Amino acid sequence: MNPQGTSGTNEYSASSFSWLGKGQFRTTILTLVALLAVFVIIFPFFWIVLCSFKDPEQFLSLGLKESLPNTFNINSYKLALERANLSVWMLNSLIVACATTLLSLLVSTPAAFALARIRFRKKLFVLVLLISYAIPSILIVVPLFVLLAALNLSNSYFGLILVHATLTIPFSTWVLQDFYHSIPPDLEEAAHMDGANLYQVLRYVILPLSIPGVLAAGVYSFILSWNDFLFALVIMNDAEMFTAPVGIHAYFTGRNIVESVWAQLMAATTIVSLPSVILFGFFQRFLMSGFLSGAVKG
Amino acid sequence: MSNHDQPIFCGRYKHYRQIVGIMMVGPVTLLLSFLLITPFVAAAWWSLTEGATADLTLRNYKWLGNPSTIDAFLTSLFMGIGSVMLEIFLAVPLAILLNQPLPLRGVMRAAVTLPWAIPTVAVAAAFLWLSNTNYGLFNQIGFATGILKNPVSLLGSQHLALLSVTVAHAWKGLPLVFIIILASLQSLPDELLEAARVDGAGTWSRFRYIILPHLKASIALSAVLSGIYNFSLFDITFLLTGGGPAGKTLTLPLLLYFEQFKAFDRGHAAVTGISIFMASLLALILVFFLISLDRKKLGTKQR
Repeated sequence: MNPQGTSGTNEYSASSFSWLGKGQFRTTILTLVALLAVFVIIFPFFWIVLCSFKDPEQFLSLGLKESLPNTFNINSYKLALERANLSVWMLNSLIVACATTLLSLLVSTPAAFALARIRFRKKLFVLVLLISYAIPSILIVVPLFVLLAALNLSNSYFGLILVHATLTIPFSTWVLQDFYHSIPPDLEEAAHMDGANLYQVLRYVILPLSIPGVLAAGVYSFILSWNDFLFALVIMNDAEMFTAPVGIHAYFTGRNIVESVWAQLMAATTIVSLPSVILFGFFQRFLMSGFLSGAVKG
Repeated sequence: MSNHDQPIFCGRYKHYRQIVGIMMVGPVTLLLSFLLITPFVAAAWWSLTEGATADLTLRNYKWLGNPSTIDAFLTSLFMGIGSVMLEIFLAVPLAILLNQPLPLRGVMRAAVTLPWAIPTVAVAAAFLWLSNTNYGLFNQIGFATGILKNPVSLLGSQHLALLSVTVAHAWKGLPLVFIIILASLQSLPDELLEAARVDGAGTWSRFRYIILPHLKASIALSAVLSGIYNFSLFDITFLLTGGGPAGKTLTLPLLLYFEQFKAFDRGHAAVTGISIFMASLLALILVFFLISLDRKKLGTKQR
């Protein structure tokens, strides 16, 4: 061991892109700095999760020592699920997010394939796609609300699903078409030579290969729909139809914030975050590459 | 669209290809035109008409000149630019750090991008609770260490509210900027840094003369994307302060919402939306213009 690391013979020195310098000592310091920065970044989320396990009866405390969580108590979760109608809202969120994901993939997968692989006049379509990238959500929320109301679709699952799908489709299509570009066309050609028709090429060659891309687009759609606040707020007016974020907002605003209510809020927001965070954790790699090709919206 | 790909069915059946292609992009085109472009056109139309009579008027655009509207615009601008500056200042060192061969690098990268996946309600709950005047952790730590004599209301004070909300925006927007900059760093050839090191360039000069120029375009791109996004973002501000205290955090998106659902003035709401869009478009065009100008300058220098 050489703590100063001046000889540069540690396991990483082979990699030349450590431009800050080499050595075990440096690596240790940099790792500590990075860990500290990462801790600060995830702290707000970490904190609500920690606080959700505090005893709801003694949630508020004036001293620093007592305010640090020191118990493991799931009463906050019980309260949140019983009093705040959270299970109904979670179910609504789940229905909307799953349907959005399905609808979004169903229409964007063939569109992306056509965009990447079939030679036809697609200028108009690309234009529509680009314009929809540039339109901010807040601009269209009111007209969409009016439009859905006119179609008798406001305050319904279907209305919100349509709206969420509109948000996710441009990104999904773009990510998937980028993905299809990365699949060598020789494969399709070989299948085509062997006598496969377009459907068979899609079903037996393209579909199995596109699973990583479809997963990224699907997870992205789910998380975006699950996390959405603005559209759900405007479109769902009935407390029975609220999605989880809107329900939590409606339940906790204007309420006299006492101890058990703060505790419930921590528990409720932890529960709402879990599906997104878990999916993100599992598919983080796919999502990252998707972000870069999709030029990111959301 | 890259040209080297050879689409299948490129030889015969021209009309067949056309029909199949249109059938495949058809659903997306219909959905997007119906649910994005129709509302956009409707908003543009409403911004030009008088509510009930549908007569053409510039009343709504004149309303944009009001001091209160201009205040909201400036607040949005502060929020957009401030949060993006914070994001860049955090993301560049973080990306460089997490591009080093450190143990746990993958986990740390994932953790930095986590805020993207957290629902805005949870973000708001976290910041509301952390900054709570009496019981929040910030004030508790301030008291315990003796920095604070009196409780500070980060989201309730006239001076600090806008800054606090901006920080929340930066926290939520950091992952996007981080990813773009990290990807750009990874495309920097190691040999370049190695050569500079051999030539005697120190850590700072390698950063200043190699890494920073390499990152310039991606910094500009991520800044404009994230800035536009934060400029038009509704939910964080709405959930944290609702525009208060005394309108100090009233941004254009919130103004739009209140004009529509509190004042019931569709024209004002529409014109606010259009101005958000126009400002974003202008920023986008400006940045792309600057980037291309920069490229041109570099090009002439090299020749």
